[in-house]
Amino acid sequence: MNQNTPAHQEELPPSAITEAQMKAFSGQRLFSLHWEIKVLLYLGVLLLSTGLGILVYENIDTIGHQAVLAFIAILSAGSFFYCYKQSAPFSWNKVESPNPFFDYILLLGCLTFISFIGYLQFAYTVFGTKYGLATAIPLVVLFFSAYYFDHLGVLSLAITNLAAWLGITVTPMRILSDNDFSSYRLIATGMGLGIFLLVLALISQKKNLKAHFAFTYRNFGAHIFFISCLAAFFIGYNLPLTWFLVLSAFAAYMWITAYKEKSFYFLLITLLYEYLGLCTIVIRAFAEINEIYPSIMFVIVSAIFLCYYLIQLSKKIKHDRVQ
Amino acid sequence: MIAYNKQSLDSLSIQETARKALFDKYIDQAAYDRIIAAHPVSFYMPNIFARVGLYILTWVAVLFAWGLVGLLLFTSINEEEILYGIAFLFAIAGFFMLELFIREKKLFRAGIDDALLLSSCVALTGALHFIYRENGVMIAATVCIVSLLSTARYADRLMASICYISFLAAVFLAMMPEAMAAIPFTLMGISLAGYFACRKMLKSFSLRHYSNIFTIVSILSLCSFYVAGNFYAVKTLAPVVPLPGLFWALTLVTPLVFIYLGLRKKDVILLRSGLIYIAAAVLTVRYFHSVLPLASAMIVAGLVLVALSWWLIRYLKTPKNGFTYEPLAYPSATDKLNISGLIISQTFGGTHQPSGGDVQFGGGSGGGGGASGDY
Repeated sequence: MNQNTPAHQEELPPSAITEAQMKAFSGQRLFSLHWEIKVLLYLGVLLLSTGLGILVYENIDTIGHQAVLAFIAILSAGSFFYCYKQSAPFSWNKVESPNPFFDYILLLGCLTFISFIGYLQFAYTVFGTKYGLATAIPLVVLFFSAYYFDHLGVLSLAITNLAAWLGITVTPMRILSDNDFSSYRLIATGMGLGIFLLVLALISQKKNLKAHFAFTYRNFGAHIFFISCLAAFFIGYNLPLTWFLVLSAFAAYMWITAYKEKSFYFLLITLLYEYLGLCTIVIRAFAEINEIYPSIMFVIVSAIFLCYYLIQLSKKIKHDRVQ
Repeated sequence: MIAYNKQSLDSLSIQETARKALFDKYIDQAAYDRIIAAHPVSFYMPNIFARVGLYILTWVAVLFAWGLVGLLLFTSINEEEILYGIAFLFAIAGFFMLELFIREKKLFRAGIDDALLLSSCVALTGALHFIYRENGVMIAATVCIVSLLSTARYADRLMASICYISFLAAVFLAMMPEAMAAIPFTLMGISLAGYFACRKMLKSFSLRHYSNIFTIVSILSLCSFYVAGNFYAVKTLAPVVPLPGLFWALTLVTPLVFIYLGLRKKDVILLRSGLIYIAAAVLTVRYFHSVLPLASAMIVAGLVLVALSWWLIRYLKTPKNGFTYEPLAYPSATDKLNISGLIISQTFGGTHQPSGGDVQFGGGSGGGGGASGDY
């Protein structure tokens, strides 16, 4: 909608700018088709890869495993070769992608590589019963590609695969539905993974090793830790105070770092997760002595207080940069 | 009529234009600073994350306050009628606080006002229960009037959308059993009238503070126009479609007309609407006729899309006829949060957990409609 401003908005006060500037601005501006074309390209890649997948699945009897494997391998190798040829030399800083297709072809290469390893295991059980190995190899390739070719999408893919390797689902829409949070092993894994990702974020920032990856690491890490911690808190509810202390300690750490970096995004999610924990513990405590009004009062007053606090905070941190 | 300070609204729109002009390098930093200094805005407008947080927290406070008061009153007077009286009380209190915050605290799109407005409207609609009493047309009409008044006073986009949709719903429900055959044409007529009225009012100087409203309603009216003429929608309404040829033509041609007009007039709303409804048209055709097996259809469509976008990017490398591939709008919060990365990991990376014995590798349940959030 940005391009679609009504005519009266385009007029700036003549006192502030020169006539020529005004004419240039209110005259014909270029019309960008950037996002439209990108969405078309993305849809095309999605349809193509899914369609190929279905076609192979339906005709596996006539095609044969070798042919399918060979095709996937060629596709993957070709994509990686193209990326290798096209990409700018490796650097620990941010590298711009050389052309608009680069990102998609790299994505295609990575996805087909995952399929290749999976197919190898499915058809020939190459890795035997070492299922971990079958997921660990794509994992390494994904992380390597994310760093070597500087691709945030592949990095997100690598992190989700890392979590899957450990047995957790972290894709945004399924993080709450697909995980069995009643097992403490899973909760512990989640918290460990969260901390590990945060350490990675810290390293990439401090050592300046792809510093722009830090946000993705920290985002995944914080959410995974908070959700695991709250899951332990809600489901077991054996040691509410202990878990609440763990939650609060982590929240305090997140708060301090976010405050230092003036990241309102992390301040907000920390505040909301911690508030959820706090309300739960208060409501449960009053419920044990069969009281409900004090806890309702508490929620109302604390919510209003937090609103007030957020307003003060947002006057201090005005921008909406995330890190 | 509008609750917000008009001068600040004007300054805000000037500042916004100046920001774009600066981003496009039409003016320099000094000119920009002069413009900002000459047009101060008195509103409290927090950043997007603070707005989200305030919105959630206000809803929490409002819901618990409703619960508290309702619990106290309902336990002492155990009658159903009292609930509507309580709802009316909530609505009054909500609007009173909203007015107070806007006047005294200068809140503008700050999360608190968004939440208070929506919650008060919900309470008011509930309180007006005596008007409609389970009657569908009257419910829709009540919602429409409440949201229309809120739109006029607060120029809120959500309220305007609710108003438009509930108006269509009221018309639809009123015509439902008797005048069913005329429904598609009536709705299309209303949509067209709504669209052209919005385009016209968008240019009106005296209604300039409502420009956002007219934009969102024109998007919705294009949508309702397409849906009203869509073959699938008509078919669900009436098992035997009269004039099938006409509705098929509307299903297939409307998106193309939208795209054509969008490109000709350089209108991003028409263009994007057309692109979305092309997908809808394809799905509609596939629902009734299996032209190709699913896999082949996907491969063909994928190839066409990739080739088309590849060609377009090549073609627009240097701007042609005022079109370009370069991104022109300044980066939004979506870019900063790396939403595209999340979409990729959601749609492609459907990695199931390797649980215990059996192998499951990522077949990728390519479900998530990833391609929307770009308005």
